[in-house]
Amino acid sequence: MLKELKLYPKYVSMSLRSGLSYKADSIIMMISFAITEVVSLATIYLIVGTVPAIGIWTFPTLAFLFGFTLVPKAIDHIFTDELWLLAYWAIRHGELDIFMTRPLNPLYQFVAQTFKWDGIGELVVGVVIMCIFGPQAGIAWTAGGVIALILCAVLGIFCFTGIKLLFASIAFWVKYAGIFLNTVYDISNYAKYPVRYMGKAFASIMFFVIPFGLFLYYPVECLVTGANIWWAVLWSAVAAVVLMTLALTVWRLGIRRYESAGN
Amino acid sequence: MRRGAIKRYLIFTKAGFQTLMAYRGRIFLWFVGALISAVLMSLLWRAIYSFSDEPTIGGYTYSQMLLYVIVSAVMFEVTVSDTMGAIVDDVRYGQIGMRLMKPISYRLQLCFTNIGNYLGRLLIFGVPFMTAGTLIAVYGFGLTGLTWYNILLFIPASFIAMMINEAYDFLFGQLAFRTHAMFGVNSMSMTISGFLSGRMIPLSVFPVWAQKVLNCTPFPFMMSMPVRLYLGVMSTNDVLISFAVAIAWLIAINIIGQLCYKTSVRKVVVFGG
Repeated sequence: MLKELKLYPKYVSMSLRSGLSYKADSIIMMISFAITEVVSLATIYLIVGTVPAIGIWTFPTLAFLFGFTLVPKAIDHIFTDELWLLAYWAIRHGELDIFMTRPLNPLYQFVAQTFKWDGIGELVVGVVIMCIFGPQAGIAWTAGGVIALILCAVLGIFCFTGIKLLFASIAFWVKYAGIFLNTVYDISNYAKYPVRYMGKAFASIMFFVIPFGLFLYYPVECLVTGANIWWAVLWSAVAAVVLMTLALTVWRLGIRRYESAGN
Repeated sequence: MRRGAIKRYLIFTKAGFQTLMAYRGRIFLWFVGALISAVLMSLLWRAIYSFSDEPTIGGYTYSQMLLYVIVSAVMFEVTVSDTMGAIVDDVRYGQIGMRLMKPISYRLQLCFTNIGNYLGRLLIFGVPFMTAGTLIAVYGFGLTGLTWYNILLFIPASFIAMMINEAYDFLFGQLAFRTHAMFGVNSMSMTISGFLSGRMIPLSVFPVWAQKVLNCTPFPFMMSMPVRLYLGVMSTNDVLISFAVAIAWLIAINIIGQLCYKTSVRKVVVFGG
């Protein structure tokens, strides 16, 4: 573990240096992410604009929720973007071979090879939106509330990584798991809406099956309703532990049956 | 174009159809994914309707909104263009050199391949998924106002939408000759067209000034117009004018694309040997 930690800055530097040879490309990616998030916010504005409020949710509270969902998503994106390639073609193309011959954890090597600094744009957009709409969201801010929200965001990163790794690892069995990961990941987009008003079945799925609602929606709901946000921290921690354990188990089972893709 | 030439390009249409058939399992899953997204969007709209004092939002009743969401999700999968992806692959794997050397138009090759892809997606997946969605909206949610002629007219409207989408994709796809960041370009162009064409939310929810501006662009003809036609919320006059304007936009985007292509193609760098 210590060896991996020591090596990580070297991986980051390698990834940044190769990224810097395509500076314009990284800028295009940042602009693309910024446009996507602006469009998402505009969509929320237009949808909520059709009614005065959706229960307790007005536009500023939903905008704050949206900003919050971006934070763990962006940080996970910066560190583990390579998992998308695992789902789409790394296994099909036998790209894991090289990592299995080195004396380091293959998952660590595979994930560490890419540091997506363009995800910082997404993170900045999320934090700026939270700062703009935080004071207007009708939340009674306390130091404890802020700390709890930061903890939820940190735990949310592990939840995102767990879900991504879990569904990308299906590729060990089906070779092409991109569609599964994409569909599940898209569901996270609905955690920025009032999950509780979207039907009991959907809310149950979002809280207990694919728990985007638990670690993205629930912390902000606690703040808006004045409920105890430390429950959200606890549930986010449970979700992070369960998802990471499940994902690592599936990865381990998968890599045991991994076979190279020919010559 | 001469008849012989058309025949030559129709081989690409056949190839596009056959490629689609080879990947039918995977494409089926994409349709299922789109449908899941449509179901979630309809749940969100149901929540919004329950808090609305009016029975309609943006001029749509809930059952109409439900079908709007389903049809736009299915139509996106039917009219999605593979042109940008094909250019990116050709540049990345160095096949672009061989493609440009052949005595056939690269542009038409891409276009005709995409038509084959569209036909496969429409017939194999689009028709069954839309029929199921329509039956659910009519019998499950009491939707009225659908007519057989509007449903039939949806086919040419979706074809024109696909062609506009493909021409738009060709316009942005040419950036592959200049940058490697095509994932960013692709997601940017898809987000912009998705939002402005009415795929994410109906354009009638936009402010009036924005609707007026959008009506002067090709975006509504890529999604909103065919879906509204299907729902039967357009007058005959509107339908006729819309078809004429859509065809005009199709020609205009192709001309712009061709003019840009003449400059872009000079920037091609071929990898490999």
